[in-house]
Amino acid sequence: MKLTGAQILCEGLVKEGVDIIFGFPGGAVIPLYDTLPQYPQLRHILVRHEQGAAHAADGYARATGKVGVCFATSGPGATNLVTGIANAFLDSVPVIAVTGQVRRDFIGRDAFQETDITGITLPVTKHNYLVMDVNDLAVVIKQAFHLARTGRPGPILIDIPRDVFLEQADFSYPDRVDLPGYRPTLQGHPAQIKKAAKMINEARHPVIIAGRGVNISKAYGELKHLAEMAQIPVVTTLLGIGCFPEEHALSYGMVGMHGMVYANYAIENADVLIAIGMRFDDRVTGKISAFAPHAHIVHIDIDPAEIGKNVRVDVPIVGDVKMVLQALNKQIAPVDHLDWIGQVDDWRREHPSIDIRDDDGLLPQYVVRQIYEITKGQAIIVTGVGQHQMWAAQHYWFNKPNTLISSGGLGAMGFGLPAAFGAQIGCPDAPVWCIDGDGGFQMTIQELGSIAQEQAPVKIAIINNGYLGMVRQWQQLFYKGRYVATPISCPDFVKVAEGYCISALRVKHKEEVIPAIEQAMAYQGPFLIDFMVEPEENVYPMIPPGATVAESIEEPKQPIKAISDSKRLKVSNI
Amino acid sequence: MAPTKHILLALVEDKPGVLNRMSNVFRRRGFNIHSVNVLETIETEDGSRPGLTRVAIVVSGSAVILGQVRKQLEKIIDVVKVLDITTEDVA
Ligand SMILES: Cc1cc2nc3c(=O)[nH]c(=O)nc-3n(C[C@H](O)[C@H](O)[C@H](O)COP(=O)(O)OP(=O)(O)OC[C@H]3O[C@@H](n4cnc5c(N)ncnc54)[C@H](O)[C@@H]3O)c2cc1C
Ligand SMILES: Cc1ncc(C[n+]2csc(CCOP(=O)(O)OP(=O)(O)O)c2C)c(N)n1
Ligand SMILES: [Mg+2]
Repeated sequence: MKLTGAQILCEGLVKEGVDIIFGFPGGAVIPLYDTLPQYPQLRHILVRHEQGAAHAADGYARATGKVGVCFATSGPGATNLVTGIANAFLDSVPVIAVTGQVRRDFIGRDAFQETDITGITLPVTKHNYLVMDVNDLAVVIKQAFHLARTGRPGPILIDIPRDVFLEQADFSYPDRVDLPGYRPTLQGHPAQIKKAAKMINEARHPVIIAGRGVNISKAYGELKHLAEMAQIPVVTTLLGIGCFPEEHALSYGMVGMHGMVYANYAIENADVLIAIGMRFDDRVTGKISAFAPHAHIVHIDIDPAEIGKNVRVDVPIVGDVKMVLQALNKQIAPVDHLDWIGQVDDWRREHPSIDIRDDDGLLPQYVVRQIYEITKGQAIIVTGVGQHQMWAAQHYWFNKPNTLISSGGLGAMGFGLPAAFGAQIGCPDAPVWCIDGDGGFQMTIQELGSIAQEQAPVKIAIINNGYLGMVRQWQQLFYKGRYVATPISCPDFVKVAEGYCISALRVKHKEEVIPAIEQAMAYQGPFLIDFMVEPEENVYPMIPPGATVAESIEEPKQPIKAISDSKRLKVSNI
Repeated sequence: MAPTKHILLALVEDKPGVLNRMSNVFRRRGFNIHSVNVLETIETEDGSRPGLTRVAIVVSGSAVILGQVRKQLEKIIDVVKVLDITTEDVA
């Protein structure tokens, strides 16, 4: 059967189980878009900017566990995807980006809207392809999906010249891939597992630090079993949040720079640290030489290049978390660590970290906590990057996996709204809340248009502090309070939303918070709330960059008083 | 640890761009490559798939960092295997 390149691509997508594509058309992909109506199984969702398409595909993938797909045209369409692709790369998210390219005979000649997108994305994709022969296309698609979703997942870019979309080839879809250079190790080495088991069985102060690899591997049951059987306190990274229920008695929350003081103390005092599917990011370790100074470290990771990259490891186990834990758990003897757990509980009492102070002002932490209460902890929370992101991680408690969706490795402001849109498209019946900053929201604000067009019922909470708050906090604490370029004005978000035919409210006082959230929840469609929070609230606890747990800054008893509302920048006074 | 000269030998798929992907791993860390030699491709018997090529790279760096680099090279999908043959006998 002869098909065009565009048809082959669509056939491949259908075969791989794709039903949603986020994209934006242009010259080089018109032949592809022209073919889409022949495939009603493929629902194309128009975004307002290609960055939005990549972030939406990313949010969709994290929320559903499926591969996210986005389309863009050549040149500016392709370059607009780059931030979104880099984001998916750093957080190991399976995304397929299909870009149009200029005709083959124009490539390399600086043709109209030609960019070398495979060159540009080489360091931020797991792999990428420039398809110069339509006969290769089916194999490329098969490989791309295989690579995106297996091993350590990641984004794959497929660049297809316009004339390849139009050319015909015999179509048959391969049922297997032939990639001699790609053989992820899934089963951990038995001798290493045995060593790890012995170490854990002999530990007196063990701690588990669980990361996004647990979510990717869906090893929630195995993790819980290990923690309960051997009574091991569990802390998580930002991206590991939700892989272990945060209301569980053995859960001690997030670690790292803005992690819980007691979680960081637990690591500092651990004698055995079991790191599962996490990569010791510097936001987690702080000063490397002072990280887990007394611990023997077991590191389970599917990517051999992660082992020993940032910290010394005593027992490396390369493999898939689920398979490794299944083998490991068989060799773990049930024990009790009541003294140790009692000790960590004492730290928790002494350093509550997440108590919200009683304040008449509108505290951002209070807003997040009320969203938690009213959604009963069942929502999918998608964040931007900054202070509000940390408050969302600290003050919402996640009991279900993949319900906190956040840009961790790249920390890309502008991720929140499009990723929430993608998550909502993937989970149409789930309550999805986008908790965003007033700064980051303005970076991808145009996706309100996509949300309105699709009537995706995303609820948007803007934590409006009038600042690029996280940077302001650093300026306050480490740059003598010189707020250079961090006060930021904003449009009237309520009016902007209404301009997009999205219902919206502004909340200025504490007592309006609960009714506003309830109103948003009761409303059938998308809804925006602009929370005018205390402008100079800081995220605590905080371990200053390069410092140790002992140097943690906790919430001061007397908070540094906030500036008055009238000092906020308004559009009208600039 | 003092940098020493290392010879890395990679077995890679004979595909466009593979050298670029490899050199990127060095460029990103600001490494200077002393020399690269691409040896003749070993074709598969039936020609059903692209053959494999050997690439020899000489660089200076500490053993620890080069151990990392070697793993990152092996992560490249088109790279099948990388050996540090500085001290190993090549059969
Ligand atoms: C403003 C800001 C502040 C931050 N503060 C903090 C903080 O205080 N604390 C914190 O923890 N983070 C913080 N982060 C996030 C941080 O930058 C990292 O993104 C995060 O720590 C990474 O978590 P991770 O290692 O679990 O996930 P990833 O970076 O996604 O790494 C996952 C690891 O799991 C492995 N893996 C994948 N699949 C499998 C599998 N099937 N089996 C085995 N292994 C697998 C991968 O190879 C990888 O090594 C912050 C980010 C921002 C933007
Ligand atoms: C694209 C991008 N540019 C710059 C930064 C640096 N940065 C990190 S947090 C932050 C402030 C974010 O402000 P806002 O969205 O209002 O959130 P807040 O911290 O106030 O909650 C900035 C500028 C970034 N992470 N991403
Ligand atoms: Mg802000």
